[in-house]
Amino acid sequence: MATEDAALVARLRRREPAAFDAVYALYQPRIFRFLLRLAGSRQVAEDLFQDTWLAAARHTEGLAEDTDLGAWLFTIARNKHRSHRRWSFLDFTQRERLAHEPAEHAPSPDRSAEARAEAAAVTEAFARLAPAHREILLLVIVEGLDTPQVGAVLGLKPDAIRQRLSRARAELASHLETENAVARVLAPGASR
Amino acid sequence: MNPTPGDPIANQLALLPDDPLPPRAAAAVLRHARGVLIDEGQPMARFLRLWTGVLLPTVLVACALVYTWGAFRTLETIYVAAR
Repeated sequence: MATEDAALVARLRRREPAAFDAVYALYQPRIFRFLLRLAGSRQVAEDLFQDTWLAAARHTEGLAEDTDLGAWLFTIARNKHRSHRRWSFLDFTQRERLAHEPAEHAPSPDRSAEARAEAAAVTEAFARLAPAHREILLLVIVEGLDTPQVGAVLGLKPDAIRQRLSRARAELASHLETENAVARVLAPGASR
Repeated sequence: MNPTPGDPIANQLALLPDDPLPPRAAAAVLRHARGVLIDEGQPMARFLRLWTGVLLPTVLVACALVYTWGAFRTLETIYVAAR
């Protein structure tokens, strides 16, 4: 862990608001992006993002001296998302939505039609992954966490991480293939 | 473990939506969290955390034990008196 991180942890343990501001500035874009992609819904991501930082603010005193701040914050965010999924599953009105987890994000309008279609296909394929697979792909490939950090966030040993990552990659590749096949069929002039 | 530059899956994942939180919303969350950070550090908040987390559960468990012990004692007294 970097010395800078250790100094921030020490100041957080003393509940220094300036230290909290620094941690927020460092990690808020990554935590929001992680939640947005994990939840597949902007509204849910915003709620979970707020819950994550409130939980972080409540538990600064109990931090261990050698806490890895990134892993700690991603763990809280991931747990908030798991808890949200668990409770939403009890809500019958949301079951159908959760079963499919449709991706509600429209790709940005400034991209070309082809790029938009590709981004939509990736978003759709990603949304169809099992939550555990989405988590590991985001943490390892998108956020670039190393093995000990991913192990801390997911509570897994290195072998289990490698295995889950490999399965997640295979599942995503398979979904992407399906999405691309559908796109080819639906493309103008495909039936000719 | 980390992706290699030519990793096709990493390239695909780079296409996922990345709409950052608007600055105003981000500032509102920070204000709220800062409030919690400061409030939870107050002596009264610490006492309330201790009360709800440790003291109250201890008192409730102690009451339950005393009640159970008392109930057994009463039953024992009745049983002995009936013999």
